[in-house]
Amino acid sequence: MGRKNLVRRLGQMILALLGISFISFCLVMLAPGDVARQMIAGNQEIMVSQAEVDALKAELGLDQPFFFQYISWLGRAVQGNFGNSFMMKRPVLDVVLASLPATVVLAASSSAFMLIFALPLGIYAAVKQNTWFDYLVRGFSFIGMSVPNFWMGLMLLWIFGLQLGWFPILGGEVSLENMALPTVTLGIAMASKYIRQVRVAILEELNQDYVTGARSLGMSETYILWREVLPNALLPLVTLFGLSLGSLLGGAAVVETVFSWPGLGYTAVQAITYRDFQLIQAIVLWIASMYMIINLLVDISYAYFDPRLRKVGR
Amino acid sequence: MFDEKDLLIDARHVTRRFPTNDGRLLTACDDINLKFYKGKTLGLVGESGCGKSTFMRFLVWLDSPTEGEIFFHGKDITKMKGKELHENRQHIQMVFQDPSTSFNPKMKIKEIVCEPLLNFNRISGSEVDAKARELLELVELPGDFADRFPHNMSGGQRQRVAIARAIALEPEFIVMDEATSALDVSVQKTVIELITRLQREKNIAIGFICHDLGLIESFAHQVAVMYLGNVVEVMPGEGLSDVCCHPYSKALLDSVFDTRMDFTRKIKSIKGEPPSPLDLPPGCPFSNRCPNCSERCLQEKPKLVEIAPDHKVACHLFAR
Amino acid sequence: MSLLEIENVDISYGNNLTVKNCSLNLEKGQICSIVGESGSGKTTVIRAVMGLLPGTGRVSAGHITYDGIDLLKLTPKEWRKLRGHDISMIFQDSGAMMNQTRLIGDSYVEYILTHEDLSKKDAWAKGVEVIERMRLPDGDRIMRSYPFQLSGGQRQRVGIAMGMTYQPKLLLADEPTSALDVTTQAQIVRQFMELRDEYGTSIIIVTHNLGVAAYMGDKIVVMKHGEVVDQGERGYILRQSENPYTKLLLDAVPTLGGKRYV
Repeated sequence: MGRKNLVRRLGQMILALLGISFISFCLVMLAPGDVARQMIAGNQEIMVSQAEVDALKAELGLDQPFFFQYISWLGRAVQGNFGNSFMMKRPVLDVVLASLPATVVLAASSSAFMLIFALPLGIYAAVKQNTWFDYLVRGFSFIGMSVPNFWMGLMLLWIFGLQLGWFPILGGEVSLENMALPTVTLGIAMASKYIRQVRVAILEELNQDYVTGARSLGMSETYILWREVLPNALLPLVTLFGLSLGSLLGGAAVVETVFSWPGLGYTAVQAITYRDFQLIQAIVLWIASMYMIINLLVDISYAYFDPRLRKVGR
Repeated sequence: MFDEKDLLIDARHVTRRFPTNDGRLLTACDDINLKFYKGKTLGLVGESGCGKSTFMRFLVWLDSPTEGEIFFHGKDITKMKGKELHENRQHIQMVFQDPSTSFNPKMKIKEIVCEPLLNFNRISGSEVDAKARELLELVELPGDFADRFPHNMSGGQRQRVAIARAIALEPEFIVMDEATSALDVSVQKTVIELITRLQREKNIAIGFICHDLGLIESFAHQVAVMYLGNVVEVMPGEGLSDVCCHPYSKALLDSVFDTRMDFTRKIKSIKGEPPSPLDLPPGCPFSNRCPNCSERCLQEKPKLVEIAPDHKVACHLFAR
Repeated sequence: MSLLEIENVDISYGNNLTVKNCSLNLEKGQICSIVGESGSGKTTVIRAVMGLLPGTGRVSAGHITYDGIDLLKLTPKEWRKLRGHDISMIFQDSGAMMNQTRLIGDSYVEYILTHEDLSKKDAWAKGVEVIERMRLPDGDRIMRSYPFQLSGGQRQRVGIAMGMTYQPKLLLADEPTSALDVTTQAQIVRQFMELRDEYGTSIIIVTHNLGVAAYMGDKIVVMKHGEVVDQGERGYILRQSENPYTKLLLDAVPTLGGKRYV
């Protein structure tokens, strides 16, 4: 990717982040409920005096004009100060950074799970198209895609945690045994989707002319599959995987909540429940940036993998 | 052979340059001068990159030249806009190379051939059926094809429909871009017979882009040979293999395979590769590959000069 | 015994019979042109010889014998030894038959290593040598290019070079010049003739261009709607055959100095 292009993309990213932050700021502010009252009373139904609310508002600058509040927030954010989380009673930045490792670990483990299962199964289903194996694989992947995350997670928790007692049911901290079930839950959902994608991509490549060309030269089917078809088939899957990764790194909210996995998704759900607007704002920005950065990396890598996209001098 | 009062389209000094990303200029057409006459076919031959398609697109307003003028009934069509342009579109129509992609696959044949007529308010919606049959008859297709869809017909039949659509507005000039190249040879013959018959009956001028010299010799009244954006020779269609003299034209002729040729003849090929159109040499564009290249050829670009009635060549070998 | 014998071959796709009762013999050092219009089945026939029928295609009757070997009974392993070594195929767009995301040299080396036990360096050198032997200058630069960086003519010549690496006895060419300019076509045709003259390669060329078929072919086979309707020596087909379809085709082909319509 040329330097000019790169600079342009980064510029677009910054503009997009500004837009997203503004929109999310609006949405949080426009959400029903009084933020200041929320902060004092939490979610409890206790009486709060107007004077307290007004005092807090003045302190937080919530009585200022809306746009002014946004600019103030922006000014501070650019310097790395995302405010304080009133739910956690800590700076927002600290909360986010503390939740990140758990999310990253889960993203890595579920991606690995997906790759281990989706690649071989998808490839083999393509090669053995329309055989019993193919139908079986497609059937399971269909089920895997249709079953809601939370149900699968709860079922696994119930069977393997409660009934069989193989895995802990409480969660709450990052550990190998805590990690197993969330990984499998997320992994199965992802693998189901990717098995189909891998299968279709391989089938499409097998129909390309260069496969006939290679066969006419006497190349073996094994060589053709592994050294020619697979690299080409995986290329479009890189984009898909980028989207998945972006989503994972933003925190798999549902799965994390089911298993009390202390990642960003779990934190996000709580923040929303508490209307912790500073925290919500920061998490939204984090998710948006993750998607954009990963997509940028995917686009850059495309030029590396597909020489037709490079500016090759001739 | 060509009466000046039959002159329909007069292209003068038509040039088209495309700027590239790195600031260089790609000259697709360079100072093209061609004349099209009523009821006569001009065949434009050349290999890929010679600019023949680019030039023809100017005639149907799909593109505009960077320089030059194209006169149609005395008016420069390259400068036309708005209502005037819309009116003139009726007089110049086009038939494309690939019959399978020239139509909207969701439209019935009768809708396809009558679309131009409806567009210019020549007929009303209720007259579509009758008019469609009339047009199909003109191109020797059965009337009940009117209710078919393009994919239910063969390539040759589709090309006939394309011709029907092109003549619907009774144009004075039709551009045909390799209109028979995608057809089987037996079908090609019947389509050419159709085209020449329609030309006779309706006195239509035709610009026919083609790479098959044998084909173009069989039905073109004049033939222009293009190389790297330049017209290098214009000659009568009949007997062109005898009169052609530009070294590139002769090389093209030498490359033609024929069922009646001398099979013991060794194939001569042009040496070298054509230069990049981004980096044209000064002088004659064919200079680096011509067996008769001289010093003058390298320095000075030859102009198209008339060496015999209706025969012009751009080559120093023949300039007086 | 002929080099290639196609005897009463039927080719079907699923239950559809697309080629009926095709018979053809090719001698050593001979060039045979198969001509026909669309739907004639000419491409299907040579794909069948190579065992490369797409989808559900198969030879449902008859025999195909190459150098005494029954091609219809070969195992995949035996096919891999034969293809690209004893029998090669040249396609309409050789560039499209190569992997666009790999250097030509890399694909070529892999191909050589399939048939010979050489080091990568020696395989590369061999590739360069064959390309230059086919009169394509600067073989190393070509090896270091991607297919899309070459012109149509160059790609065809690379395809021919690769196909000729092991000097196969039989070359099957499927419309090898249809996508090329007139002058490039002439170069490729000349190259094919040289292959026969220098290496004694037998060639079957499938083409819809009767001029090319006539120039190249010692014998011509005419196909229509999946059947061989006429075949014979070139002189016979062009001048003496009374077959109505042959005459129709020959009459329809425009020739220089031939019939005019205006």
